[in-house]
Amino acid sequence: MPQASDLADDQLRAEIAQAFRQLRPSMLANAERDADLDPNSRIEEFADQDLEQFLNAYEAMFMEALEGRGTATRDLILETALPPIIEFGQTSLDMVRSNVISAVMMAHRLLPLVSEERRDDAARWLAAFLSGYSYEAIGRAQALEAERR
Amino acid sequence: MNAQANLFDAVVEASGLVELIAPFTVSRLLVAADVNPQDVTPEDLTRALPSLETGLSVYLGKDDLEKALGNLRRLARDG
Repeated sequence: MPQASDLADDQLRAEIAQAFRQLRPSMLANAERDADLDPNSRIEEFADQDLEQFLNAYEAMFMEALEGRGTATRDLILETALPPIIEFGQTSLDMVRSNVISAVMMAHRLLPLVSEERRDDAARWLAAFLSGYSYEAIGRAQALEAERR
Repeated sequence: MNAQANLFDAVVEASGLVELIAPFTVSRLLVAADVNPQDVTPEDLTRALPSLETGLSVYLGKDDLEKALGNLRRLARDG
């Protein structure tokens, strides 16, 4: 199975990075607008500056994967943010739903910002990145839930 | 509450992190620097600053990171 880092050449990485930078300023508003898709969303419990911290972390993780720099940032985020999020009451099943919502909406918004001739390649990279992240995050969430039982 | 617990709480506050993740994140970053969060001293905090900077830089924007690092350095210096 190809890893995300195997699916992008330098030109594709540059296009995806540019598309992400274009999208970044509207991500908070987009997340707030999409919250109604998730019946267990608790986004309204956070101030905008708090949500920006989660978006900063998402950006750091996205860029790390895009640039093929390993998973140290992703691991740090999952090790530091996931346990308190599970303590807060979010379940691994909740995460499946929120990750699907986030993945579909990210693909919908990001891919049109990539040139048409590279859009399919960008979609393949995004699918590998988001599925790899979800697999790791939900696996860790399940392990934390098992520890709490 | 003892001085170490007070200092840990001060480090959590100085981190500038969102309240939900701040205590756990600061604990993990201190442990990564071989510091026991329950017994953190100003000297430990000085040693843990690189680990804290690495972790905070993932969550905080440039200005907030500079502010947090300034506050943490002050705590390490003044206790």
